[in-house]
Order: sequence, then structure tokens, then C-alpha cells
Amino acid sequence: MPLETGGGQDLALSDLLDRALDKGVVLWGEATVSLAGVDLVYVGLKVLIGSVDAVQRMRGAAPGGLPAAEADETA
Amino acid sequence: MTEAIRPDREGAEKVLVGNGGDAMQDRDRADTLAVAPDLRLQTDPDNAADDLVKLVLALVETVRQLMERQAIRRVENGRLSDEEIERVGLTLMRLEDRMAELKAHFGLQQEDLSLSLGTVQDLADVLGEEDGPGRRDR
Amino acid sequence: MSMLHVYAIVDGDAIRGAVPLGHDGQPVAAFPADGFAAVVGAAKSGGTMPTVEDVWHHDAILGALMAEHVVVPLRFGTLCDQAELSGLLRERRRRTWRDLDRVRGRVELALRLSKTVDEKLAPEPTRTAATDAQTQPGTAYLMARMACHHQAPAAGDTAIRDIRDRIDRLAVATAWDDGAWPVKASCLIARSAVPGFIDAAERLVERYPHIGMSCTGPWAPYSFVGAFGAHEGTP
Repeated sequence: MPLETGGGQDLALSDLLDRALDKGVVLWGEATVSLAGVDLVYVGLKVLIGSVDAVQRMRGAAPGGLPAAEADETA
Repeated sequence: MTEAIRPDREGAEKVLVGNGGDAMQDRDRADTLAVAPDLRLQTDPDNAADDLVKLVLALVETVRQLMERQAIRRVENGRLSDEEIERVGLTLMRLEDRMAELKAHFGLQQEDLSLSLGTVQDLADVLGEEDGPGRRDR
Repeated sequence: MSMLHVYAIVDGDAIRGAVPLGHDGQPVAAFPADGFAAVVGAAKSGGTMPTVEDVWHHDAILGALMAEHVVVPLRFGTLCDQAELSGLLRERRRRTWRDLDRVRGRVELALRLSKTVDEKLAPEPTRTAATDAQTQPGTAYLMARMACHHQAPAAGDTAIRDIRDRIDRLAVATAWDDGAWPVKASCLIARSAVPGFIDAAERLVERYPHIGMSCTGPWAPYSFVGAFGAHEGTP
């Protein structure tokens, strides 16, 4: 059974999420099952679950604030 | 001056070098992510039954792996009692036996069952639900 | 007061070039401070869960800004009260300038090293007579599985060391995360050096076929800025 997968997109998405999210978690899945060339079943799930703070802020549930700068120094 | 962008195959153009390394090894990182590729399963009348069996077993195997990772994470975080560890371990062990039987029965190897669905962090942990038995992680 | 979605800090006091609409469907705007500007939009209202597309969208905005600006990227979903923004920008002025200088003319490339299928780390189920014989077989089994999951890349692996050395020499700065597979690296590279970096990476792939290597990018330099939230392992 040939399984064509979008492998390149996974790699790029993984690298993107490592960087753009602060400990976020993503549920992401898509599958189309075809029978004799006829697409029969589509399952799609694209939900981003971010860190608690980020999600709450984005939903307007809590006031926001820019994240603290790295603890440093002389600035 | 400004326009909406909705790329069709987001990310494909970002891959500069890729020689088949498995991005899904990230599933060992409990704090990372779940990513599934866009699967397109082409099957025809002659192979339909076999292909569906493979799909079903692949899904079962994926769930087994997810459960195993979750269990390990909880053991590491000290959130399971000794008795729970033993029970969960036995269950996973029996699940593995069952999968071995099914694979043998249908003539499938482990590689045939890799769907590359990744790890799902416990939703309750992420959303920081109230402390309950074995719920909170961070 | 209204909440702003903050995408990035850029040099200058106005946005140059074509930039996608923000998450609220409106053009993004520049909120100027002291020689630099925050790129902002109204926070998307409605309380819907953010999606993967939203993260790509955030990145697309950064990418468009990078065509004409020096860009200090902020994390996806960074929100700030409009009344507080100018105060915060003033407070972090010096760190912001440092970030801008750090990333000027540079992009970030992401590297992954993994074991290829032949040497796959896939923790295959492993029952042994030893585990079965224990008085607590379930526990023994789970412990064995845990050990399987935790095989970190060997520190002495010459291939990995060689790859690390070569990559370190090619990049302005590299942050390595090698506690487990896949080994990951964030590389800060001069824009002009990107093609050479890719060539070098491809040569490494040929030299070490048992190690899967992928390189994605160019990304905004998320991992090399710190005025507004340090990324873990910011070098």
C-alpha cells in the first residue's frame, strides 16, 4: 500500500514550532483514505495548543505582557 | 501593500537539505509536539482488505506507542505508585504480545506499521488543570 | 485598553515592503520607539483556538519583514497592552539594540541529525526471559522500555563530533541541543553564507550516510535574540 507522506512539511513544521512557540504542543493530523481512486474518508485535525499563558492571553482570558527579557546585565 | 498569504504546501520550500532523517524521533520528547503527515492511502478492490488491516494495526501500534510514552513520562515524574507501575507495565507487555501475534498472523513487520503519528502531550497537563491525582506535570 | 499582537521588532520607524495582513485581517502597523519599531496588529478576538496555520502566518509575516528589515522575531502569540508597549520598548532599548546588531544580515537555519532507518532508534518491543522471570514483570518491562527510550547520542560518536565541528566553523553562532535524538542545532548564518552552508551540509550527508541530516530555513533568528523572551539555549 503506497503511503505518500508530506515528509518535508513535517520537518519544517517541527523546526518552526520549536522556535515560534514557547513549549507549545500541536495536534495535527490529516488522512485521506481512498478506495479505487475515490476519496472516501477524510480526517482532519489541526489544533494548536500553546503554553497555558499564551493560550489564555490569546483568548482574552488574561491580561498579557511581553515575556521577560533574559535575566542579564548591564543594560 | 499588504495581502493575505495562504501557502498551499506550507513548509515544503523551507527544507534545504533532507536525507530521510526521521523528524518523528521528536516524539521521544514529551514536551514537544504531535505532527502527522498528510496521509493518502491509495487502495484498490484487490488489496483493500489487506490495506485496511495494515491501517488498523498501524493505528493500534501508534496508540500503543503513545500510551507507552505517557506511562514512561509519568513514571519519570513520580506520578505512579509502585502498584500502578506494575499494572501499567503488565498491560503494555500484554499489548506488545498481542501486537506480535497479529503481526505474525498478517505477515507484517514493524516497519509496515509506522504511521509517524507523534506524541500527544497530555492535554490536561498543557492546560494546567487543577491538581488532581496524577494530573499536573510542571 | 486594547491588546496588541506583537510580531517583531524591526529597524527603522516604519514598515518597508509588502507584508501580509495580520491575524486580525488588517495590515500590521509600526509602533516606533527609539530608532526601531515594534510591528503590531490588533489581537485576534473571539477566543478561537490558534491553529497551525496561524503559526505559519506569523512566520510569513516575519519572512516578509526580513526582506527589507533587520528583524528581531517575537514568539507566536506575544500580546501586549497598548498602553504598556512604549514603556516596555523604552525599558529594553539597549537589549533590543544588541539583538538588532546580533542578527543584522543574518538568518537562522535549523539542523537535525537523526539515525536513519537502518540504525533506527525505534524502541522495538523487547521481551526477555529476564524480565519475564522477575517477581514484578510489569515493572521490569516498563523499566526496560524506559531504558530504550533514553539512548542519548554517544558523546564520543566521532561522526557527530565531526559534524558539530564543521557546522560550528561555518556558522556565526550555533546552539546545540544534543541530550537526545534527534540532535538539533540552531545556526546563525550570514545571508550570503547560506548557499555555502547548504553545500557543506550536503557533503556531510554524503560522508555520513548512516546519519540522517535535515536542514530547514531560512528562519527569522528566533534563537539568537533575548530582549523579549530568551529562547532556551540562546548562545
